[in-house]
Amino acid sequence: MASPSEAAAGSDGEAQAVFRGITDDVSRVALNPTPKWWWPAFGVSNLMLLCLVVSLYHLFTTGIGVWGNNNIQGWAWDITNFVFWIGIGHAGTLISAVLYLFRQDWRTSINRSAEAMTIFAVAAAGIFPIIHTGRPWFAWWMIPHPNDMGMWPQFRSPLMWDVFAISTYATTSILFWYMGMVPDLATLRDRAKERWKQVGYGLLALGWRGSARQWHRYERAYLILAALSTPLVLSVHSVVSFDFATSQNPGWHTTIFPPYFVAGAIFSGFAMVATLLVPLRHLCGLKHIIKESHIEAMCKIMIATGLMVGGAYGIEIFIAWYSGNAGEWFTFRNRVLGEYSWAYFAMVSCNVLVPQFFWIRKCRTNPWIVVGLCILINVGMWFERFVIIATSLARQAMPGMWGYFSPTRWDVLTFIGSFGLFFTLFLLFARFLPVIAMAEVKAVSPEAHAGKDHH
Amino acid sequence: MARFLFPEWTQPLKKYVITPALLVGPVYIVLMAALVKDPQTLRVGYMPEQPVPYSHALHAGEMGLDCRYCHNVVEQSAKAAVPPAATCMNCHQTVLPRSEKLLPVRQAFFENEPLRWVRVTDLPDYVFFNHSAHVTRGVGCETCHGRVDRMVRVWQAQPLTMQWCLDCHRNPEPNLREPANVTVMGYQPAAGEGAAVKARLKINPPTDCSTCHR
Amino acid sequence: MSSLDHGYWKSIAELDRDLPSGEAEFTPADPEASDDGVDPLSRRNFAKLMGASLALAGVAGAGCKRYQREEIVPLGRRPEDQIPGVTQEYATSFELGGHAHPLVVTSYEGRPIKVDGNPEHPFIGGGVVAGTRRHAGSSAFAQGSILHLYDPDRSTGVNHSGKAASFSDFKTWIGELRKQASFNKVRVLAEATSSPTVQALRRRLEGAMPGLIWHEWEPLSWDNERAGMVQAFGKVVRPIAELDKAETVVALDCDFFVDHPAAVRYGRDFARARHPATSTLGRGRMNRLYAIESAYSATGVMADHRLPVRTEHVLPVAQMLESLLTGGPAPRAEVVNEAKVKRLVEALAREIRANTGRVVFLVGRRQPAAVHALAARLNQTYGSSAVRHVEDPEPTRPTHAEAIATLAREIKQQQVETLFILGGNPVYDAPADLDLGALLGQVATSVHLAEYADETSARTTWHVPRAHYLECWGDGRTWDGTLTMQ
Repeated sequence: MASPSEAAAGSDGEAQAVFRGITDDVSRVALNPTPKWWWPAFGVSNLMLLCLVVSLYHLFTTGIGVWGNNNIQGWAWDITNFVFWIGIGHAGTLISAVLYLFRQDWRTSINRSAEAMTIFAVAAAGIFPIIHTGRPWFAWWMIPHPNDMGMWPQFRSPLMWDVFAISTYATTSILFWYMGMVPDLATLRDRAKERWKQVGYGLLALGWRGSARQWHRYERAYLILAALSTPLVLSVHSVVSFDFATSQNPGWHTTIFPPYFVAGAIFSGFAMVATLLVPLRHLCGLKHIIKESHIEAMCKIMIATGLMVGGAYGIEIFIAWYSGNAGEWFTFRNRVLGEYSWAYFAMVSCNVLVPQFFWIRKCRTNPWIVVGLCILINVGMWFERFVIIATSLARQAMPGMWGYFSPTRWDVLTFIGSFGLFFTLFLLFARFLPVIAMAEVKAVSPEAHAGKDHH
Repeated sequence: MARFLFPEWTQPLKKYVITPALLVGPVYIVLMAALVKDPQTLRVGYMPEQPVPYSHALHAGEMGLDCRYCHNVVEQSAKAAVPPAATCMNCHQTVLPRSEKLLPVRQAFFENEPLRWVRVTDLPDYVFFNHSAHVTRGVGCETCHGRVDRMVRVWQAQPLTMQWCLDCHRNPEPNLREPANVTVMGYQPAAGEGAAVKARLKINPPTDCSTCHR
Repeated sequence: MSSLDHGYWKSIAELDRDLPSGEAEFTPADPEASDDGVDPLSRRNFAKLMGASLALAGVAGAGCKRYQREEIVPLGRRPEDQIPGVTQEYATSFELGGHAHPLVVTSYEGRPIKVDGNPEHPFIGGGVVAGTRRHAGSSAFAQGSILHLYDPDRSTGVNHSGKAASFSDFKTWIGELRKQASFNKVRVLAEATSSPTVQALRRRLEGAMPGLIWHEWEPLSWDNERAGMVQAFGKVVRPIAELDKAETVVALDCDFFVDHPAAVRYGRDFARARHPATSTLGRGRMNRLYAIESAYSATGVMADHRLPVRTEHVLPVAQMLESLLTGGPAPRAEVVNEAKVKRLVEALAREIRANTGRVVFLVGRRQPAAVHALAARLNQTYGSSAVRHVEDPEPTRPTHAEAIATLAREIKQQQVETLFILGGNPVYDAPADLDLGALLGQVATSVHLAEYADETSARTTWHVPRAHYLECWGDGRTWDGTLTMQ
């Protein structure tokens, strides 16, 4: 990325200063006293997390009847939230793995937080499939193991594939994130003043010394993990889409689902990354590392994925009509014009119209506008999952299987609670861990290439 | 202050303690939990105290009463049915009529105050088992209940797990015998007897869920 | 209590004590003593010991328990035909409104679990296809009755003046009552019953307590039909339609599929003439049902032609029909000039004439005697081979409305000191102008025998719980008079 002219301007001394500047700025976030804004934010997140604890307690002790789900709307907010959160996670993996393999150097400023976001989103997502069964204490039956019942999970079910897809995704993401953090944790260890921080970061840094051999192995392992993660970007949400696509239900039984879901996932993931990072770069004084150009790049990706998602909406309706299948056509007409049309139009306007503003440069550079539009996109993507799940179930083949879903307060509390979990984890991350991959940023900064260009 | 690195003395700890614990520990814990939770461990050998010290070893073993003298409905009913006190009194009106140990039996018979036996062979309530279906098709009593003729106080002889049921439902031959001999204890089926019974009685045990969970 | 009762132990000392006691007494030489769970090397014991260490590690937890301890409680003496675990079926009958409904009840270890019609009963037995013996209908009321048996709200004990009392208190009071010199002020208000046993007991009671008067009250009564029969025939008879022989069925405000003592039989017979393939009218033929009614009923739903008219307009419509058939004067009511009425009644008249002898008119119990009498006349002419009449078992009894009015008058005149209310809930369902609830206050001692402590029980001195029909013996007669055991 470094242009020769930029590189020529640098000298070794300047480069050292720049590197130290980066280290100072990033380490300051973790090592300095807690900033004022952090406590209120953490308090609010904790309150939301409390909602999750309370609603799960009520759910476990009473049963899933506390939700608005019923015989007809067997899936509703539970699975909507699950797909929503899993989708959010995708941007992190895309940024850290795919963009790494394609040598998109601008990713280094955002990949750490994007990966963290992935893990926290997967944590929030993982709650829902487990609790929606109504008997979460039997969730371990999904892990194949010899047992005295002589029973095994149903391997032909996409819901089982989900278990493997999500658990693989969570494991790989955590490994990738943690491994990438080791050099930076060592930096924090070295710069920490208090003994407990030194020991704490020291244990997490696994004895990293920064030797050439360690760096060599680190780079290798990072590359391998990146290569392993890349297929996950496509596979996880494809498998999630199979939950629907392999069913017989009109509105779900669609071949377009895997690419459509993956595009939607990346779309929503980038919206969430932008929602988190635009405030973070202001609050933590990292504007010179997470640059405006990075935000702009993300906005452009959102235009692209938003158009893909919009195309998928169109194709879905077209195919429903073109197939000549009365059931399909009925479902889609009902999706657009039926009782849930408000949700459909919320989805279309947020997901297709909103990203079009990013064609305008001012909308990509004004932080307020970016955050506002990204939040709208997230709202739209949540509605996309709700529309797919709720409207397809609301009008099934028999009029006796017609219904309407109204959430109860416990649905709402659980949903708010999942945000509480996500934000609590993210705030802890932003306070105590290196939010930016210092080593990688340095490696791709123009100064790193200065010496090379002198030769 | 020097940066925190793992000091030298942690090296043997890493090699001999932490690594093995991380590798073997989970396996050990899971294996032990599985072993303890295994029905073979938890259930086999369960031997509750009964209100009357009735000895199957004495009645069925030494005196050679047929199982069906007391459990007389076993061939018609899902239940083997613990006999009414009246069955006991057939003999015990004259045999040991004043025994203190038999007082609860006499109370049940004369005062209609029923005996409260403790269930030994207990299946979960969501499992339906039909004795007549098994007994009339040549599954011996001892196959599930063990050598009752040697039990002073009855104890659970088999794990009675779903896996255990399914093993036999998938391959019944080793446990089949001529239906006339179902109550014989210590029975050694002749070679090919199980297969012959299976063919003659057209035994084809179902293994779908609703066979037992209905 | 030995800890082996529940299979686990709390201390090592307790574990050591867990050798089964009394073993040596019973079998001096037990060949497999080592196999019964005391073997120190058995897997069970090994795991018990391991369990302690695992419990410390928090692994063993609550999962390592046996199921809940359960008891097997066999009967002291098993009834002769009972096989535990196998259902039994027995014939019985269920009395509703003074008419028996024959049933077969399935019972499991002494507990009724299912109610069905009695397929072998001469009145209702047999299925839709004539000659089938395996099926019989029952009614919604019969099906509901089994829920009633297990209703936790059923009354369970004797009450005296609103306080719990014992049955022996009640017996003591009855004993004192019997010592009275005169029974002129003792009354019984019973619900209608067809039971010969109850009727015999009534006669015996009337003999033993001279002066006692027995009144009978049933809120949903067929007394209007009795009055109509008297108008038509000069005596009380009971019409019985044979719908399997009827080409045309005319229901005049009569939901005979549900609200009729012979509903099960009528449903069966109607269906037998309904399916062209198996019709009792001949192959390829089916009956036709006309319903003239004021509310949608099961019969109206089933009808080929349904004429909705107000309840009080059923009489003029029926009169119109009669005048068309017999040439008499037409009624003056407006309703018969309505186009829909005219069209249906004229078509119906033509059809009746064509099917003379094989037409049935059925009238609902809320219609006045005049309609019943009119239908009886038409049945005589046009239903000669599809309607028969049987004698009423009690041709001379007063109507239920008269009976309860008499009782109310007697109470007002201070002629009642002791009142037995046997079944029913008259405070709730007696005619409101009698105000029986208030009148009960003037009776010195009143007794209510009922399955529930209801409005009547609240106003009587005694409340005595009544056995459910599935809990006691009895008998009764079906609509056609067939004796039936309960």
